Amino acid sequence: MNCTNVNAIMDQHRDTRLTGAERNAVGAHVLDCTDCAAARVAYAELLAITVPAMSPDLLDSILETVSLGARPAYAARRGVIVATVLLTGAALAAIGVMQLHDPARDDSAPQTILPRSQSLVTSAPGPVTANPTSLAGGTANLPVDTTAIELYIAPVVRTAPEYPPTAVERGLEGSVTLQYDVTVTGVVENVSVVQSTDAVFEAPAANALAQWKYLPRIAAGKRVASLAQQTVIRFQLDRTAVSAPRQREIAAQQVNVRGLSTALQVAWERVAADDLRGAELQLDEARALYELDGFQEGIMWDFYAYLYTVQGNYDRAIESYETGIAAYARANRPSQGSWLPLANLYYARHQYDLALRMLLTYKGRIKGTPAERVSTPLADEFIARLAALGVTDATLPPRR
Amino acid sequence: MKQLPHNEFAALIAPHLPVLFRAAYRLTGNRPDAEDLLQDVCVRAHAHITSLKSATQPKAWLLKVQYRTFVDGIRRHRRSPLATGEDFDATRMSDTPTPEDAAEGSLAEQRVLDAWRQLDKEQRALLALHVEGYSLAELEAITELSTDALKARLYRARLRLGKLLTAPRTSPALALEE
Repeated sequence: MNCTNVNAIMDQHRDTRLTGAERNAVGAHVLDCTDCAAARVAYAELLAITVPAMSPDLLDSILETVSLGARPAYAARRGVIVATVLLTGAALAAIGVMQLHDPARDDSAPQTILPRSQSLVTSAPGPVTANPTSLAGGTANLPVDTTAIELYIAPVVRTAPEYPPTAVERGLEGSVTLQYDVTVTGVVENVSVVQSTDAVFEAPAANALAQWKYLPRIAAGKRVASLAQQTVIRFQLDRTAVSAPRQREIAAQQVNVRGLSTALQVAWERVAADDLRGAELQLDEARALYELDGFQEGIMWDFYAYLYTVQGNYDRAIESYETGIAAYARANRPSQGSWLPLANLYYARHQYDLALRMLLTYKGRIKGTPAERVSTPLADEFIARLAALGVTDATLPPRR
Repeated sequence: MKQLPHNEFAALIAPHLPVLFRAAYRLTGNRPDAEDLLQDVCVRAHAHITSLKSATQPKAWLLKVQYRTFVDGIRRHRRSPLATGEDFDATRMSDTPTPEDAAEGSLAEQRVLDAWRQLDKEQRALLALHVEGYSLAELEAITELSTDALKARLYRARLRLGKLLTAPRTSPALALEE
């Protein structure tokens, strides 16, 4: 590693996505090179500065400056926009994707996509004595059991349903529980209503769900369908009076959310077309373009982690899941079950202690959201699998 | 020039405002100056509305206008060129920081800002856009610099800022602050 390499890494925004080995090499170089050390300090300090959100009044004030006098056109549509946005928020907050996972019912015609990487060694789970328990000494060359890699379906595009106008008039709220299949490419099919509080919500909920896009499940290195999933879509009205500036803020957020969904949909299409690098670039661009809150950051990093896992780049996948989990925590939102694939990656690398620690930590944090509650049996099953290998709470080394 | 209906201009620029504002905030280091810069950019965009409308990438077009507006110093408002830095403290995101954390954060950002002001405008513009996540290819389009020139200037800007930040703090002003 030399100055040119270090600068190229910074030029290409790769700092946060280095492999363990690369990071060590950069660290070693920077110890001896004051110039590179200073440049990295500058970069890190700039990144640490938080950019506040744009003032919601800015558009109005700009329009006044360009002085055409008329009221902005969106004012007339405000009511409608607010209704949809609040619902978008509500839908994101309230929709729990209950992965009622049933491996026996997975599609019988899977597509093989793993392994991608030539350098990985495939092996059966090793004995516990060969259990690398810590990250010390670098992890880049750990043998990986690619057949043990599992990824659960992850929703990347969640279209908000339309609130039925008649329900708005009647002040009616409610929820719909739906069952559906996710195909090998991640498309939603066979949507059916399991139960609903009012029939008026059923069609909008089903129509919205049919447009959702998932990253498909991967089991034993193959892309598989996930049948009989369930989710609840809630319809809630926000009856509190919303101030005019707040309305504009909401409208601005909605523009952002819409742009971001479109970007994620494009990334998803690239995954479906097996263009993983294209999907990654699309995510990079979306991160540069849109303001993301912690929850959206989390979804984004889960998406990266999925891509890296499929590419066989497990170091980066692990790093991405961890970044995502931290982002969810910052936003005070439940992680979308990211700890499960993360534990799985550790498991596939025979880092059983880390896998167990991950499972126990996040099981302890489950706050009762539907998605995480339903994941509990998966975690329990996983913990039992580790116990069978002799890795239990009692054998965990103390935290350093 | 045929004047556009108000809402059409709004529709053209509204989707790009958050991005422009982020970049403007990075460039200027505080909200009032960022908003001023953005106002100027929009006035120019409005004056060249046909170019904006025909641009295949309106966001890149607007960023380019913003870059030139900042670097060339064409400003309507004549605010003090020195950023105040107040906004950094007010908007620092954190998970319930302790008072000590908060004090440290603002001091650290004040230091960055002091060093930032010592860079020339082009250096600030390049670093700001780069930190915002724009790729070299995008920066080339915005700045019309060659890849090599861009890399060299980014390198020098980072180095200069880094040296300013890591230099021993002996200036009386800074000593007083701390």
